[in-house]
Amino acid sequence: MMHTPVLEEQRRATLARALNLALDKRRQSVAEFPDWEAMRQRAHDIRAGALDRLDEYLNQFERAAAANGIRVVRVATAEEACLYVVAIAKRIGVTTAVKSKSMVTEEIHLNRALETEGIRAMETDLGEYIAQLCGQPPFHLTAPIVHLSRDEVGRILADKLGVPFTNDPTQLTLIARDAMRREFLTARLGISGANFCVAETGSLVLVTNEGNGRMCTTLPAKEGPRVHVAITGIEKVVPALKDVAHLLRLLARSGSGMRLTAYTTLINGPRKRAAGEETTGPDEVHVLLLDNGRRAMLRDPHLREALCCIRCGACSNTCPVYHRIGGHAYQSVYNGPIGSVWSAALWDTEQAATLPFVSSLCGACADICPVKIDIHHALLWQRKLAADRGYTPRWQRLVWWAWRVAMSHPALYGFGSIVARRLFSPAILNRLGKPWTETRDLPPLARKSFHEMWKEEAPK
Amino acid sequence: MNPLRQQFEQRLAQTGGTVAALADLDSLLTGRVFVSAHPVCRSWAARATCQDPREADVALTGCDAMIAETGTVVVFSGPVESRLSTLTAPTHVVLGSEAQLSPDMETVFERFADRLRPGASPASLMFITGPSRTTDIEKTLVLGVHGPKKLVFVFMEDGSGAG
Repeated sequence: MMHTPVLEEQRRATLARALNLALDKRRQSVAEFPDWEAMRQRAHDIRAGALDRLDEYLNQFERAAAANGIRVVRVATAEEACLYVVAIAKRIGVTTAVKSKSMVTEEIHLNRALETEGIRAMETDLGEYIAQLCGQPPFHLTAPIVHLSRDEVGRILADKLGVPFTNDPTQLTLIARDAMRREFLTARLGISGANFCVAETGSLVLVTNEGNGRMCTTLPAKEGPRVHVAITGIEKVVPALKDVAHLLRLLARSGSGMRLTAYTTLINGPRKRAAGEETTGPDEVHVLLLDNGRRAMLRDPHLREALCCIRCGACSNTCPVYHRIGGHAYQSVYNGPIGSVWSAALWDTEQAATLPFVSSLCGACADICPVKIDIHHALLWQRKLAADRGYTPRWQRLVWWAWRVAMSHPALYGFGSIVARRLFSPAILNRLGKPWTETRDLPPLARKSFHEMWKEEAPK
Repeated sequence: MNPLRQQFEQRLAQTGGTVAALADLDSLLTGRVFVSAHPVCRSWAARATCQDPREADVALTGCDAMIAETGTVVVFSGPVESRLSTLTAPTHVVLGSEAQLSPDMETVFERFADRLRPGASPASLMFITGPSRTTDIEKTLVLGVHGPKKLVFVFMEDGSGAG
């Protein structure tokens, strides 16, 4: 089992300030809707309904997108997805790609795959850009550098870009903007994820606040073939545009407390090239629909619901464990409460499979989730899966086994309780409870069991 | 004032965008000005001093719809270039009229259902809600990352009439 370090005091304060601010803004914007609970239920029903008929909607999306001129490709694994993107880059002869923030591309480690082939993938979301400059993975689903102070960001930009140090967020943003603008104006390969795929119209929905998503999918370069590749999970499909409208209402509010993300873009296909039609936009649009373990989640009734996730990040913002340890401690692309569910479902490693133990199971995540995913019960289920696969320590399994036997045999339990009360003095208990008992005492065991008290005192 | 317009103006302002009167449009067109070929911009075509939106300080464009609930401007891609002109200039001025207002996004999708059928849809449909923004550094709001720092909306109608 992994041991999770707690963040140092200062960083924890920076993080708490940011997370609490996001929560406050969410609370205010949600208060606009007295029927928020009903809206969550509807959002849940839209997502769960789409998953119930997933193949039907995927086929419909594929047909509609093809009619729009999009090439849709189903990919089973991370390797397959990466190979496809590398092949495009080589075909059109580029050595740089501009990337809009996408968790799926993190999941498949696309940047590494491209770099191996000599292709530089430049992150263009401000937070991701800075995280990439200092070689760190994103800290949070929607706020990749929420743990860094303005001074740290200033030092990173000064170090990596050779600009004079400043810690003014406006100046820092301008510096990054100028560096990226030069790349945008010549980039011919744009890579993005997709927030939703719409079956009815064959559209991709992409939301960004900075406009980098629009840059990466418009590709303003004046010469050469320009290609946009969107990589997304098969679970992102929704039936119709009206469903998107509803989900967007919950997505922005839950994540950042905004009514709508600054740029919400429907991508329907490549630039229409007939004379007198569109002059800007890519020549080709490819959509990769990735499985990579999602169908296995779909088959498990306890994990299926987790596929409803719309990646708002609210569960991390509210999670008491995330507040303490931060995103990097999870050591996984997907972190926080829903990220633990996803990590454990996608990767059969000790590290990922035991992430469900990094939770207090308090249920704050399920309470805030805009699509009503029962996150903590999924985590509980995955603890069982981890134990079944032998990822928990042997002593722990032995203790639970003994507990189960005792609990299902009242006589044995009664006997055990008598023995335990004789045997475990407060001193022994405190020794067993280390290190927790180094600063506090465990309460002593009661002298009489509840059963004994009941026999003596219950009214006849 | 038209209640939809009132809501649109109020919510656009909350995103950091502004609303200007038609009479003040002239004063907004300073520096390198790009004017879209959209019919609504025709009267200002002579004010253009720059043909490429990538190099403009100010871009004047039209739009296809507005959403009152979120203060959003809706733009379709099409024969009139709109993907760059609504994105690359530090100031984006949008012209629109009250008839283009919809209460919410659902209504926009219904109104344009015909143009959104597979095979018939524009390559891109942009929902623009305020200026380009980030809160990535210590949750401090900074406007104008890759898109405009200023978004100004101008109604073709004077808003004082009873709606």
